[in-house]
Amino acid sequence: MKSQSLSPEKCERVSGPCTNDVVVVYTPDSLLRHPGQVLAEIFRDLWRTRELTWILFCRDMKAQFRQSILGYAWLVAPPLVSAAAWYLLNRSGLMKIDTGDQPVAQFVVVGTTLWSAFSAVLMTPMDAIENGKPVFTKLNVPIEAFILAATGSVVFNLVISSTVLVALLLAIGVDARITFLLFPFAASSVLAMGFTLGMLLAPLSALYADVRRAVSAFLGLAMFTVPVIFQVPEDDSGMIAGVIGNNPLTPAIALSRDALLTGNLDWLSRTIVWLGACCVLTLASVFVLRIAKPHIITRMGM
Amino acid sequence: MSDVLIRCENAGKVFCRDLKRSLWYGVRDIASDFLLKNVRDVQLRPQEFWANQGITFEVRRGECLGLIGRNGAGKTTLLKMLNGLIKPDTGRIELRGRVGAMIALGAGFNPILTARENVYVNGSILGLSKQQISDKFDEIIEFAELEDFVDAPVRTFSSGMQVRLGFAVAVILIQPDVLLLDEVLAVGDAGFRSKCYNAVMAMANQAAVILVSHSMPQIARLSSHVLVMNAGEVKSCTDNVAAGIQTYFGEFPKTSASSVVSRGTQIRSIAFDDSLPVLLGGELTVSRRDDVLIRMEIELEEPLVQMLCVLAFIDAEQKSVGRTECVTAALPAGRSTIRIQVPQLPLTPGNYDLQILFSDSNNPKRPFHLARYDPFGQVVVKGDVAQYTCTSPILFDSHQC
Repeated sequence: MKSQSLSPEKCERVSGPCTNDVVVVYTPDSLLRHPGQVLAEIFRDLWRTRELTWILFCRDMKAQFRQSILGYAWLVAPPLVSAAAWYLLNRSGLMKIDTGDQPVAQFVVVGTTLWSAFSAVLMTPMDAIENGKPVFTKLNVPIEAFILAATGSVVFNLVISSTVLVALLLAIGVDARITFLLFPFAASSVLAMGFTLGMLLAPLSALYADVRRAVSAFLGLAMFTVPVIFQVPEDDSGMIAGVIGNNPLTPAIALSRDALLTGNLDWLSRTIVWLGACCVLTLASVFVLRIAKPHIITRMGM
Repeated sequence: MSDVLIRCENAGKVFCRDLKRSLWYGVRDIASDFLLKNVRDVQLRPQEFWANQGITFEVRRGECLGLIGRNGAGKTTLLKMLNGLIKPDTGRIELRGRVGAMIALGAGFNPILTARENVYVNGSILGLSKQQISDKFDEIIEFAELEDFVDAPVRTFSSGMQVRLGFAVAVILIQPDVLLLDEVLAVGDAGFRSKCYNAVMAMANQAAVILVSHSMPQIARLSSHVLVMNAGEVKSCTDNVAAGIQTYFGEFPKTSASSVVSRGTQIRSIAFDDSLPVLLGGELTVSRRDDVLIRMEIELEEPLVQMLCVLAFIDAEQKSVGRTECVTAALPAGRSTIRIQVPQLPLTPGNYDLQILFSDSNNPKRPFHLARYDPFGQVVVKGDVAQYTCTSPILFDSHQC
């Protein structure tokens, strides 16, 4: 007999007449007493629930625009509108945007596209837990599958809006260059950072609504700590410049834009370093979520 | 015993009444898991209470444990621990084999998607592969009787159709060794319910089952033993199902004040068969399936052409489970006796309130209420619970003597 039970907290095989039976044991002990087991389970569950993840992803995809006429156009609209706003502000002279030697329009549209994907992916783990509450409090399902499925939607959305973005850039006369091929990597790094941060906040956010509110409130401010609508200041002596220069997200955003607009690869090494850190942190956050899950569900109520 | 599929030893769970504190305790509990603090010597923190305490039982394959108790007794908490949703704070729970739950039917349904799409989502959430779902897809739709609506969005379904679909997915797809049932044994209309019932039974036969229900006839029919919970603790765990159900009913406060409305008519006493007559608020005893002769001693201020007597047996859940009506011949002023013959009293053993209503039925279209006893007294039905099958209110024949 093979176990179908999803994410048992601790599995042990017992000897005896029914050695094939999988026995699940629940005790008050911390799961961290067997970290290797938890780690093995995380990967086993990821594999075992790949179909669930895919089906949930398809569900969200299909449901997203079924009640809409313009459908996927809505994926492209927000960053374009936002870019248009900045562009107009700049043109009217109300605000001077320092984009170096790049035309403002294309500079800003790349930035806002990436930023809206980052904002979306940052909220995703927290939203997925919130939306899945009715299921999580009743059925033993792997939360990770729900989070991954929701993240899949954000990735998909970014793919669509990036495709439109690239087409747009080519249309307004940006030269196609080999570094375009680096853009998917750089953009994925942007998403990875948002995802990691979201995952780290998720356990706390599942308990306190403050976290999500704080994140959405500060996202607007956070936009100015990364080079979304202006370039990284040359002179890094000021406080703002210091924040921007040291922000883990800066290299990935700058690299994404350079890949499309200038072909400059100065930010590549720093992006790779931070991406590596993200991978480690994401694994850690999945671990934390595993350990925290029964406690979170306890506090979610009936 | 190798066939014990569910073993629960001294399981306990602490909850907190205050939300803000509860959240903070949650943070602290997560932190102490990370600090590998030993299982906190469970000292209740402020506002905490035991939602479950010292729960110990075993269920073998083929057995069904009926979990009963009043609202808030901790039944759902126990199910959640068994399902691995929440961690016990004390004790140990061991489950062998696949665990399936008929809880939250239709989990993950998206109303905008079609029935077909939702079956895959729901089945997948229940832990099945796409192939497994495809194999049984037709069976699911056939069971739900929704062949004509497979590709319609679920939000165009009536609530009954939605719940039928959710039920069908669960009952066709899960084949558990350990089955957790929380009140959902059957859904839909009368015809559909019996189909549900059979399907659940087929699933339950091969599994160790835990059934939570407030319907005592259901518990009595299905359970091999019962666990009565009260305020988080095991009040009784017994394979004498009838006794367990009695324990549960005993938790309900006996109706002390009976409301009596009387206009010129009153009952002086009631007797069953040859027992001693009891007065208002008294207790009558009867064996189930006995023919009962009810003798009512009444007193009238004025003579009546005919009187309608309605006797109703009210169970602990305040449901009328048995009712008899009869019309008397002309009654003189003063005292007289009414005799009502009830053949084979078809009531589950237990305690009932005897509610009595007298009306002047000279004009049958507009009966005038003469007296109403709510209740007159208690009726204790004794007997073996194993045999009875009645679940719905019955109207039994009565013969006036």
